[in-house]
Amino acid sequence: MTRGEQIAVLDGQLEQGMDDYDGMILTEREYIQNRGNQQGSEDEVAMADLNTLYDEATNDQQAGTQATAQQGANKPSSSGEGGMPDVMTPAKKGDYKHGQTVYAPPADIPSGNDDDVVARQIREAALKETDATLREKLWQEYRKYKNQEQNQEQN
Amino acid sequence: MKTDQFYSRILFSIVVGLLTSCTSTEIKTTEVTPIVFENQHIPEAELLDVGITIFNPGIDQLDEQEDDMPVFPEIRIAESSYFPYLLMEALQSSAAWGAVRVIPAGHQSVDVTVKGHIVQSDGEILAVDIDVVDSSGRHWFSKSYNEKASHYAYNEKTQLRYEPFQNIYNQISNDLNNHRKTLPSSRLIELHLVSQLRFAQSFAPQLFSDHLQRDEQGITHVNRLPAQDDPMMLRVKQIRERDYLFIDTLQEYYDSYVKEMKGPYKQWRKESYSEVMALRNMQRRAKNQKMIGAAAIIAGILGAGNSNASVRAASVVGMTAGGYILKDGFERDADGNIHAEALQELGDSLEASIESQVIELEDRTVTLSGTVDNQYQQWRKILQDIYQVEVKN
Repeated sequence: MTRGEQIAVLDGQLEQGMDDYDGMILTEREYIQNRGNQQGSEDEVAMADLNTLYDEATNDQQAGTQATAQQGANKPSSSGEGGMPDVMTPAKKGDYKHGQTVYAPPADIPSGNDDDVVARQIREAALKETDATLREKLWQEYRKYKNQEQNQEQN
Repeated sequence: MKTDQFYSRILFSIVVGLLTSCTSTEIKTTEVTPIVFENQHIPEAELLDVGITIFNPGIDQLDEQEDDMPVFPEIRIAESSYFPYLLMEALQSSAAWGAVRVIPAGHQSVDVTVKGHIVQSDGEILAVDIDVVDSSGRHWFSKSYNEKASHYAYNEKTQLRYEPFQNIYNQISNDLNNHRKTLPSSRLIELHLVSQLRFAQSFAPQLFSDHLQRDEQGITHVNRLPAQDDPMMLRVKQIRERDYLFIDTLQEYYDSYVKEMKGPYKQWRKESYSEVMALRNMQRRAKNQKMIGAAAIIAGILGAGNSNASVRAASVVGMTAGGYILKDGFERDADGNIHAEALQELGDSLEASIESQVIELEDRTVTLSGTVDNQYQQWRKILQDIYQVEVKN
């Protein structure tokens, strides 16, 4: 092998490693986002419960389970909450420019742990697609492909 | 006669002492130090990336605390990831920096590293030591920050829009920005390059070893730059992009962790604040009363042998009153134990509710860091092989 060919082979290995790495990172982010979505809905319920308890404890006359749950969900940042002041700030500078925004998959999409190469490629394309219509089409493709795959396995 | 006046004065001052010791005033401010926003345009090459390492929880010093506050190592560990995240938010909002991220200890690909050590945190007081260094090894500053929360910070009805200790994060942000402003732009640009080259060195040491040079004070400077189209540097840049991805993914862990922890932690801190205040107040009053009671008894004993009947009568009253005051002081101690027990229960409850989040954060961070380290090892090997091929031919 010539020097150029040897370097090309090694570059190929490097590239392959980077692809695997990107896939691993995407899977990880997907997991966190799914977990965040799940946690978000749990938090709403917990917040409603917490407010109810608070109101009951302080004999707040406005108490009333439904009304309080509503209040809790719409309440602006309260005292003691670790939020930043509500002020207009200049746009943040210097965010990493890797352009790897990941969009959370629809709720019916499985974890993807058993994806083959084709399914994974569709999945990754869908996760990174910025256009909502195209993204949905990709997820549709993914669903179709996964169904075919399952049917083949059953046969 | 003079002796009589002396004893009368002692007894009088004890009575005055009794009256004044019952009141104490504590002034706390709800004033918030604003973040100084950077309005000047900062050129891309001068924007520094900041990494805030997970704070040292200060568990070793927990047992050395002066008062009898219960200690919660698990909560400290949880706070060691929570506080850096709040500091990150403050720095990001100042718009004076490039990327600001919470990073695991030992991660070195940022321009400025902020390290923190939690000295005290109990809902009423937060004290942290901050140490800042840059990638060239230059020490920016070390400073202790201490803040006492006002009870308004925990009052649902006044609804202050700030984290109770927001001042600390804002002050650190302002101090960092003030220091940055003292640096000439050439230094900022060099710092950025030093970070890049240090990262390159860690992947291809043979190729980039002489691009950086360390001076007598241990400060690293750029010796020479690689060509813009240097193929090895391009490969390293690709790897660095992956490193950013890794750090960004960690942010999502921390983000999710802080969201989950915020509710129970906020509640704990609020309840803990009331108990800490009550306990400290009780301890202070018990101490004062014990001292006054003991002083009254001693004064009574001294006056008991006096020839003047009225002084002797006052001494008896003083001794009796001193006894009651002393007894009351010990009773207050016992009342303080009730608050200490309440604090213990609150802490135990929070520890139990956040334990799984803390463990999961640690597990996933360690696992991902391990996977990334393995991958980096493989890439180092490939870059080494490429270098060997290039050198041979």
